[in-house]
Amino acid sequence: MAIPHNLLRGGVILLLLALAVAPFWAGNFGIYLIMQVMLLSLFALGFNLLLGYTGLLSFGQAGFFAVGAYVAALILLEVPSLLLGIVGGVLAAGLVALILGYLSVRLTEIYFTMLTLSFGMMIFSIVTRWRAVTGGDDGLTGVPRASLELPFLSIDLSALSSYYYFVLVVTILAVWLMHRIVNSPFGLTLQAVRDSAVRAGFVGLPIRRYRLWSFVIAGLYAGLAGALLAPMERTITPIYSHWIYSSEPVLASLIGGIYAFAGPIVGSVLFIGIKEVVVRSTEYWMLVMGIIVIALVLGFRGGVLGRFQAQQKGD
Amino acid sequence: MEIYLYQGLIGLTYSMYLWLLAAGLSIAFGVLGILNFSHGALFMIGAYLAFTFYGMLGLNFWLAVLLSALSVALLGAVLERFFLRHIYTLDLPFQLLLTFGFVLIFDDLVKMAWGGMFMIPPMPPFLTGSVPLFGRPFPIYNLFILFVGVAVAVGIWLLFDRTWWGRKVRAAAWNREMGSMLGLNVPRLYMVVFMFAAGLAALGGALSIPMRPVTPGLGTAMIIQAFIVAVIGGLGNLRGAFVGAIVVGMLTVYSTMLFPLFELFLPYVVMAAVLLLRPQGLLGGR
Amino acid sequence: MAPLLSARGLVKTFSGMAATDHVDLDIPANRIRGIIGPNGAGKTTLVHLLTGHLLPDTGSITFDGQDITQLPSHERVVRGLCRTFQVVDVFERLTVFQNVQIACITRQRRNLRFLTPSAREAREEVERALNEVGMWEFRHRRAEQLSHGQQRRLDLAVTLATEPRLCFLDEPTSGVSPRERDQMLELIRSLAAARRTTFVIIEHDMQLVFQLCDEVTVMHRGAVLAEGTPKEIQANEAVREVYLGEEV
Repeated sequence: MAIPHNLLRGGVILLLLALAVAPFWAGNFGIYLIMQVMLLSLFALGFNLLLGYTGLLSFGQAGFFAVGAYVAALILLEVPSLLLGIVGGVLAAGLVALILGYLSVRLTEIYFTMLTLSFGMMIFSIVTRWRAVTGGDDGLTGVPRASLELPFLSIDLSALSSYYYFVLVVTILAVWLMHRIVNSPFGLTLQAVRDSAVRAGFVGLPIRRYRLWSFVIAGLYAGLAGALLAPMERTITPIYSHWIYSSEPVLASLIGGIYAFAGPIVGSVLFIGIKEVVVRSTEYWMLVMGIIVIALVLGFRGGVLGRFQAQQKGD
Repeated sequence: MEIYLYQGLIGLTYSMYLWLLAAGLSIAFGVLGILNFSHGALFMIGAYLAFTFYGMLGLNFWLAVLLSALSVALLGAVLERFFLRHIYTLDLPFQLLLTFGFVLIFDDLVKMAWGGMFMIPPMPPFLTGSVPLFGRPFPIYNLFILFVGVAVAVGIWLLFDRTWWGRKVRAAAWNREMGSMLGLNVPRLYMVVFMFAAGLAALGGALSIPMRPVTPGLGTAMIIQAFIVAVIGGLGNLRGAFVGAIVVGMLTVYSTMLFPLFELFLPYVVMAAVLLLRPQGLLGGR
Repeated sequence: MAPLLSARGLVKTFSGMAATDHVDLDIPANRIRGIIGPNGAGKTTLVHLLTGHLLPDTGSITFDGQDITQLPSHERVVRGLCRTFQVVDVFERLTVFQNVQIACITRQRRNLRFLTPSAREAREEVERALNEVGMWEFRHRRAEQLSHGQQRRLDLAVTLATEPRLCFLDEPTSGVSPRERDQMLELIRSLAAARRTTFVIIEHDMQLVFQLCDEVTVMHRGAVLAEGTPKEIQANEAVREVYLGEEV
């Protein structure tokens, strides 16, 4: 069942309209859930640039998420400027990704995955033990939902619905940016590196450099998601850097489809949606998720969107 | 000085658990080519079963440990036969994700069956008590674990190096076509190997129960330790797993003593360093 | 005229065995060279060394007057030295069009454009390259859906899109039908004439080599056994001895 282009465009527009008026139909808990989906989408979009488009499986993305969250929180606790906090968090995550990425892209396959896992857990151990700065196990609390200070006006975002609009706008921009990236010559280059690193080298490409670029962008998106989380939850704890948290974008991308641009987004909706639904009847949502994951790996490796893709590209 | 030697023995004891756990992980990777994310969960299930048989049903300790290992070996057979068999040819991300799916399922199943609290069973009576070593009382149970660890190491070495079966396994390792060309029943061989690996993990878990509380988070905590050990020693390398276990055990114990702030950090640094400087591990690997 | 590619004293050993044993080689521009030899003669290792897939233990390699001995392969491609592989290697999930396109984009150094859509990039160059190998009609097909022979042609198109001065073709007709083999032969011949690309063919198919190549280098046990025109090689005693028992 292929989706005609116009129908797709129409669907996206409807979706955006629905999101634009969400506070009115979803209620506070509803928009809180939608924000969770948006943040996971950003997190997973960055992750999937590495996996689906560049062929690298990182199990340590939570490390960059946490750097974004903690740095944003620390900034906000000092200076009540939302822009500064978010930008600071993103840049910090990007910088850490640059350093760790430079080391990580020297490896491939299982060794790359193991290395990213160890880097992520290194960040976890730092964040857990460095009480003076990160608050240790208790984390940072009371992070202010600072107002957005623009040159001409200051927007108060203390209400959840106001902050929701901020996150919505940022998410839409970030998704648009990622869409441009994956459909650009750069995106094509990453895919070539993924399909055959050797061939890419023999076409004249310095593959390590492009893997590093991909890694940094993934880190920036993880950091953005983390930084946006800080004023939303107002409490940041070490769990956000643990490898278990790193598995969330992995699962979301797998569920939605790693070879589709919107896969991580669809997957995030399903991941959080399934969790919410399951938790209503039983606390054992991991069991349900585990069964879904196994079914997907055994039968539907392209994820939900993979089914549509197969027909669309066609023979 | 004596305290360092004493702590060293404590570290070695911990190393033996790690060895039992990592040996199975290494065997599974070395032969089947699969890095089993759920290996820590198998360790945990072994612990829970042993607790049930020994701590709750009052069975003989040895029987309890044996039954636990055998039950999990059987579970391993099911996992290999119905699930792992289908993913040998898939890309790494999918292999990891399938076994990660197992983790999610086992973690919840354990909670469903035994509840979410932690449990501490009694020590088997003939293994209680301690002997004075290096000026301090050293638990007899620890000596027992040290003995078991070394015995398993020797046993595995004999099994894979000296027996006909071991030779078959090495021939079929990673190369199913080669194995079947040699006339081996590769699918059954793989299943038995995985059963063995799972049983080893469960053995480690079962033996650990008098020493550490059994909790639903045990699996997730142990798998990372297992990865660290296997990477340091060399993925797929059994001797490496033994050495890696000793390194991590000693590192953990000494850093807790000397640099408590870095105790959590150091094993990951060593793991990263090994991956960057010598990815095949300290002992070569495949 | 200095040769386009020169190698002096190349040595590469693996576990004590010399896969490349003090090889000297000169390849002049614009003539089709063939490299042949029995299995294990070291042909592929030599190509690996010349193209940067492997680095030599000792020896030097000069391309277009510049020393490239330690240069990584992607740098050599940028300078105009490239290859295809024995086992055809294409970008499987990309379309035929995209396969060639990535080579063109890289040639034009436009890979870092991350905000513009790639769909229209280098369209003319891609069309030209695909037409040269007769694959334009398949441009929307994914590379993994092509037949083996089609993939070989695509591989060639991608390689040519990097606008090489010198191109190693490693067993370009292995695994293709006899008809496709003849097509490939014609293709290489016309491409060599039309573009100013020097081809070096590594082959088992002696007939193809003798039909196509201006000069032939024969390798044996990692060293150069003989060099000359196809006629000279066919008459060479040492070569015949080495091939005794081999299918010619």
